[in-house]
Amino acid sequence: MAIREVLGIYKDLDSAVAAADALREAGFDRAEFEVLSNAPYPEGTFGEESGIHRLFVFPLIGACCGFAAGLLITGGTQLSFPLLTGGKPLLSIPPMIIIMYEGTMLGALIFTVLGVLFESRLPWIGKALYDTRITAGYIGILVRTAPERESLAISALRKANPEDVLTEGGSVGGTAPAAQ
Amino acid sequence: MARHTTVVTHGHELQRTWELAPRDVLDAGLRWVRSLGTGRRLVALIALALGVVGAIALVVGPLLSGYANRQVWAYTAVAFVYLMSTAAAAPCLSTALRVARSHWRRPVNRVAEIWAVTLIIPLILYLLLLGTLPGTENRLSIWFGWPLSPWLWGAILMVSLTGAGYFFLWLSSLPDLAIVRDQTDSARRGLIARLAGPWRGSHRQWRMIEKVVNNAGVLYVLIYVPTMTVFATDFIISMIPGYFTAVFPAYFTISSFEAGIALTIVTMAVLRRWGGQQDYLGLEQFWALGKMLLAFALLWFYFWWSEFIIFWYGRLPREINVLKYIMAETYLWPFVLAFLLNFALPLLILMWNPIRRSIAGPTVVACIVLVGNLIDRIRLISAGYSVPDITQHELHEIPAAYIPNLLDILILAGAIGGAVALVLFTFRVLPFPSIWEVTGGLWLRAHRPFKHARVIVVGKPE
Repeated sequence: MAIREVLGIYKDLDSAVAAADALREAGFDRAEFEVLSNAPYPEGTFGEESGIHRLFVFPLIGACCGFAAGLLITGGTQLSFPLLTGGKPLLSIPPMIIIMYEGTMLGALIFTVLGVLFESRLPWIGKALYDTRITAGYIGILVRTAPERESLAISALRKANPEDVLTEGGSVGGTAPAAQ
Repeated sequence: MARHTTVVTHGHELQRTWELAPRDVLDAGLRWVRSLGTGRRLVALIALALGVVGAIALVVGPLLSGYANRQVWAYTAVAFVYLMSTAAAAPCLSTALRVARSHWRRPVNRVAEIWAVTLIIPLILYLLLLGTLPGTENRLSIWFGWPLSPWLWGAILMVSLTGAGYFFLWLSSLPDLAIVRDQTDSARRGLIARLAGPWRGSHRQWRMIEKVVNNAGVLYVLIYVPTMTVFATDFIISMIPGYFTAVFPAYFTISSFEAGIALTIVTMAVLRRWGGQQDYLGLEQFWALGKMLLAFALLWFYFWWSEFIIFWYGRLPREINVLKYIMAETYLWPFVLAFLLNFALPLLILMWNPIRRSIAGPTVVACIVLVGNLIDRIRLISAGYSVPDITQHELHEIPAAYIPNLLDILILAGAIGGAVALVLFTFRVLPFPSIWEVTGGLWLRAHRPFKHARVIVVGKPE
């Protein structure tokens, strides 16, 4: 199904919160719009609920993989080619610990990078409306919805006194055109 | 949701940051990037020139001499270890402050984290120094003769640390890079756009970055500590026959943390004095870091004493020789200076409340500690690189002290100059203060009347 995007640009926080409320009143689900800003707002500012993320899983999996690789390299090598030296134990634990630790950290690091890319949807390969005014302190409300609800989204965003409203076709202005 | 509140005006000077509007922070950050003062440019060029001279000295001196005489490489190793003890330690401080979730740390984080950009220099130096480290077979080391040790496994540690450092710095800078990408129109935009990627500042991205920056910092510390432990054994303990100690790696790491805090304070003082950042780097930050510096100066003594007392009471011939070599005879004066500058003077100066509670006091002590740490590293590395036969079980003859020549001094100055140049060039594309972090803190602030006073309440998000 085709998805249309509409981006409302707001100069201040109150207007942006009012726009989010107007969208909810117009029947838009929270998953259908997102807030864009140049700094993080406290959780729940726009009425959003705390979402679930799986970021912690990535370094955990990476650490386990790295540890297993380290154990395999060190323990596996010594057990595959057993050389008893001076009656000492076959497995040389101290260097094994260092190498297993290295593997664990390296695995955690690599998987954390992958986790960041996945959880933040970077790099963004889909299309997304964006306006550079957002990094200048404006707040953007980006709606992703079905084509037939695009006009409903525009009118909801306009209720909160936007600086501008952008669609995929370009700017449609912050206020509705006067009736003929 | 903000659940707890904290009154930030505890009877002393109110931090000016909390009086600012988010727009002021944005303007200050962009002004920092747009206006490259001639002073900053001149210092960067001088530092770069030093770096180039140091690189030439490295080629002319140790590289052309080869690896037959390890002593020639002593000051390359000093440069490597000093950068690891200062520039590489500073991001650890940032992590500690983030984990503690204090608000005063917001402008400090970038000061500490930006030093991660210099990690490429110790990485290159380490790779060059690998040739000076003998194989670990038939000698005492932490590696027990493990295949390809210490070269491959030490290199993996160093590459991991460098990668983690750059990852940490990139993540914590990502939102500000997006601001620079959108709000500047200079030639830098191409590089910045690539670094910022498609960051849009969505709610999902904000939730992710606030969590993952902390995780990346913790990961960095988790790699930094064992890396320093391994390097302490590879470059110092295992190079000095008879130096059997389990405390030294901890001493080496703790003293590096002390130097990392000192470097952050000195950088803050420079930014405040010559960078016009008085609004963001005030008494609150210097006072808090001064307390940490004092604590680490005491820890310096604790770990040094814990090691020293074992050798002192053991009094075996090998222990006496080690003490004579690195503390009591050969490197007596470097040791005395290191003791004074890393512990005694910081304690004697910072123990006074009015000095600790000032901007000048912690700054002066931080400068002292940076010099002290350099002298300590010169002492330890020179000792490690001056023993002709490291395979013996103990020192039978105490080697003479290594006196640096001009090339050694140039290599050391070049490494430090190169690091400073990298930081200054990075500051050309990275705003100060960190716009997203300081603004994020300002959203949690509220001005409230309290009887006849006015207080600022700062929320603490869960």
